[in-house]
Amino acid sequence: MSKSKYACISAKALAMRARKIDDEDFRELIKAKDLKEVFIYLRDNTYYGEFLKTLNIEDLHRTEFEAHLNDLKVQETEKLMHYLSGEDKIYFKVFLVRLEVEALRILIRGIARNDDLESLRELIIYSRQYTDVPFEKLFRARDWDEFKKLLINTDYYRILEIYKDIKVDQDLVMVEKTLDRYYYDLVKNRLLKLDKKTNRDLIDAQRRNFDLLNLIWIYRGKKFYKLSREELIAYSLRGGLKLNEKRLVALVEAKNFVEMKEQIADTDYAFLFNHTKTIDLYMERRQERYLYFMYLKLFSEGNGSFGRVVAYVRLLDFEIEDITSIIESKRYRMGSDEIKKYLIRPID
Amino acid sequence: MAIENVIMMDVVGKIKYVDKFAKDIFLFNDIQIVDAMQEIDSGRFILPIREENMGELLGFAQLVSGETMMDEKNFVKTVNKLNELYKGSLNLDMVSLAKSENDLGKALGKAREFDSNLVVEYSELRDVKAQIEALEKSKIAYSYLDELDAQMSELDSLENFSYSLGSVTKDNAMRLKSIYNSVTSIVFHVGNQEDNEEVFMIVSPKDLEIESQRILKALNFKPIEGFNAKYTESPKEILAAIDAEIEDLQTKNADLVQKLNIHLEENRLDATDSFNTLSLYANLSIIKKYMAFSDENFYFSGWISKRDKQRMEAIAAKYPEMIIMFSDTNKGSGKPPTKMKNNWLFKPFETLVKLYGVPSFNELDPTPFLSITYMFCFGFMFGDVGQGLFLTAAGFILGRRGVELGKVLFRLGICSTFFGFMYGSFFGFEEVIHAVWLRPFEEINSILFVAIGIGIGMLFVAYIYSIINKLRKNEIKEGVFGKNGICGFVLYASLLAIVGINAAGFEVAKVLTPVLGVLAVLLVFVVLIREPLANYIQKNKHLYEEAPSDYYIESGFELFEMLLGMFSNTVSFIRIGAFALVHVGLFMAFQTLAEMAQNGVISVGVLIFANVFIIGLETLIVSIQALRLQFYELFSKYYTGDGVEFRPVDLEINLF
Repeated sequence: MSKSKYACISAKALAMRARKIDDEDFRELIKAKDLKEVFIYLRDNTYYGEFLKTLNIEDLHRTEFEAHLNDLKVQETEKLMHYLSGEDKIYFKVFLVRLEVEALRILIRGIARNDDLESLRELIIYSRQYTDVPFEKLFRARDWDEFKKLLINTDYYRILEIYKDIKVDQDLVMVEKTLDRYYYDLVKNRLLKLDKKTNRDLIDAQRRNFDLLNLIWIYRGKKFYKLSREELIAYSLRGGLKLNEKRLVALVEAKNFVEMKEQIADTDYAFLFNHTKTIDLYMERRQERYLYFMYLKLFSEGNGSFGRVVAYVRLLDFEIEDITSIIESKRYRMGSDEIKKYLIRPID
Repeated sequence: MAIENVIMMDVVGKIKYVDKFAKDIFLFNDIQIVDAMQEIDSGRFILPIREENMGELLGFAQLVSGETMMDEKNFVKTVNKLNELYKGSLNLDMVSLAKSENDLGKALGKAREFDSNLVVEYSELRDVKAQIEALEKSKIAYSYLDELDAQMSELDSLENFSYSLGSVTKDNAMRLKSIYNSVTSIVFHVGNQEDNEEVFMIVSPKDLEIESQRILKALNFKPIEGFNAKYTESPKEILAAIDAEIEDLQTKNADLVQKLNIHLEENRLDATDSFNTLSLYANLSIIKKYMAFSDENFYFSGWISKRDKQRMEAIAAKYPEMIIMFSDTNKGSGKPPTKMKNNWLFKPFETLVKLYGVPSFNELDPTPFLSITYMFCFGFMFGDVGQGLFLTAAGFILGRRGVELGKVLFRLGICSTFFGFMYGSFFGFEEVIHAVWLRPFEEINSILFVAIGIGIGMLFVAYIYSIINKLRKNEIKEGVFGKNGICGFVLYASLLAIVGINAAGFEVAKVLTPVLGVLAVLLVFVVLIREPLANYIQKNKHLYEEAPSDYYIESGFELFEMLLGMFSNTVSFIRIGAFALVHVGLFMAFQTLAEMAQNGVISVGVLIFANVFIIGLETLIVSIQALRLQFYELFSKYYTGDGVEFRPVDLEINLF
């Protein structure tokens, strides 16, 4: 029964994945001389072409270019949502919420810096069909109070209302963390409502994701931000698979890095810290490559399951992120081998 | 016929008369305004070049669109405010508008005066409302502590500790709970909020307050408002006091509302006056948006009915130096809108025609033909005196309530009743009244043949409509030689004649059949070569618009489709007979059920249910089937329906 329920959308995801860019495309992109060549290759040879047509090649801004890659994600997520219903559909919507949160983050930063929000329009990508956020009005907001008021009918108002001002740097960081935490709590709560039996793999994958995010947060919070244990807990995520509340508290209370490393030595996540010099530099990439393989597995083994569809969107995320990394690398004029090190997808 | 001729009217006048002229247009109403700037830009607004037109002609060079100059927002704001105060009971009175000189300045002044009179009472009312709101907040705040057995003054005056109440989301409450033991404050869970957030009371030492606040902020802790140092008793006593206070204020509030209403009633006349004038000006501004302006003149364009020409000229004559020009549709001043004009019997059926498309201005209005045949088919299929009268009554009530389709239903019901007498059917029973014509179930063949006969008649009329429409558009190819043109019509008629005379076994059949057969073959050939034939007659250079081979392949298939279509279109009408039988059959089935029940009450119940069921189901199916015949069998022959509907000013709606 459950198999046939997702048979159609799972086949659809398979077909959509087949059209995505492959290793050969990535090699071409890495080879490209500059931003323009990356742009032309994507526009003329890939599925992103449709969304890049509107951009002017002579006046190409890196950030706008990157933002428009996400147009594809919006369109495909919306398309897949037609095949879903009930809790599945509600859960799936989190991928659009992610973009909404990103868009708000950009605008809030703009407000904090006194930018004209209208000038950020090209960076704002969201689903027009599914958002409750009045973005068109937000672009015209002149100050923080006005901005907050426009969000009064959304969940975001509750998050932002306690911040009287956004000019203080520390508040801005906290707002961003709080938005993230709101998003992951939402993911967790919607995940809990999915059918546990049929979606075991999918749920575990997402919970591992929470584990990794927590590890990185606690590691960085201790090392760079020197946060108190209460704050570390306050921003930690719930719903992890291997790291329950007790283990999280233990990690937070670890006196130093060595102790932390010991605590997770027996878990699947030991790889994060099993390096000598490059821990900080590649931490995020290592985490994402781990997730990449996990979702790749979920995708290929999840024939006829909802897991495959979710894996599809996550893999698309990683693809967009990789392209973004390549675009960025062109700015620093990195060599091919150097670029490959920063990609989530392993390219030889 | 039923499509009115419309003409384009272009007006140039002196700016000082623009308001008065716009008001005339507004009251005239039956005019479709066109953006004058666009007309001028596209070169359709043409002034004759004469000495006395020099100023107006020169004005073309410095034109500005009214769109950029007009702003009706201020008027709309005041109008809406008035409307809100009177809860929408003010109405735009066109008659008094037409009579009086409406002075904008005076009306604005009046509205302002009105406003300032209200300010006092209104602000008092607002104050009371705000107080009640604040008290409600306090009530919620203190209710979280209602079990606390202490004086609030004690809490407020603690020397080394401060307290605060606030809420966090469920997820953050979990986080808070896991740091209970290490946080530098005492945390009490005191309740849940309506929106599912959990409420905590935090008591922290004043020395560590900054740190506590930081952690609380990290948890998105939202302080609860409404605590006030003036309340010193225990929470229970405070709550009682607040309730009493709220009650007092509510009485005060009711008094104020009453006073305000009395004031509003006293000033209703003035308010109506202002409302009228301001609405008028708001509408005038909208009209003026469509005009173009030079330094001295305004330019206006719009479509009007041809028969209104003299009335418009009379209006223009009131203003000195106004130039008014009319241009006919055939002079190519854009695509004119279509104004349908039908008598009361046919009018409601325009809705059905518009479902398919608005007739083009040079097309015959299909409404009368559709109305007659639609009513006839409906009655034929669903003939019952009782049920028909029921539909008539339902349609009448709906029509009165402004549902356009209700009026259609009313007419259909009458036809149904008429055919009910023909068939002698009353609420399905055939024993009650005598059949004037026949009983469908007893003469199945006749009813089916009659149905086809009616269909043939309707198809004939459709052919004639088609020929007229196509010839009006100068389409020789389709109109004369096409499958729905003269050739097609004659071909259809001769094929029918062959079938007819042979089936009837007339003597002449032997002679006529070969003649008609040859004629039919000849006509089929003509239809096949209609394009080169038409082009040859019209002396066009190219006989074919595409490669001849392509044309003949396409045309060959079309022939096949045409012959098949003639057959299927005709047979299709058998359904009107079939549904007349279904009506009887359906009721017979229920009647048998009722008899089987052998219980008076149940039988009557079944028959009542049968009637309700038949009325619902058959009205739906029969109206759809009849419409299908119109759209598919008939409209596809003669009707394009790609016109644009005429939209009179009717600006009132824009306001609210």
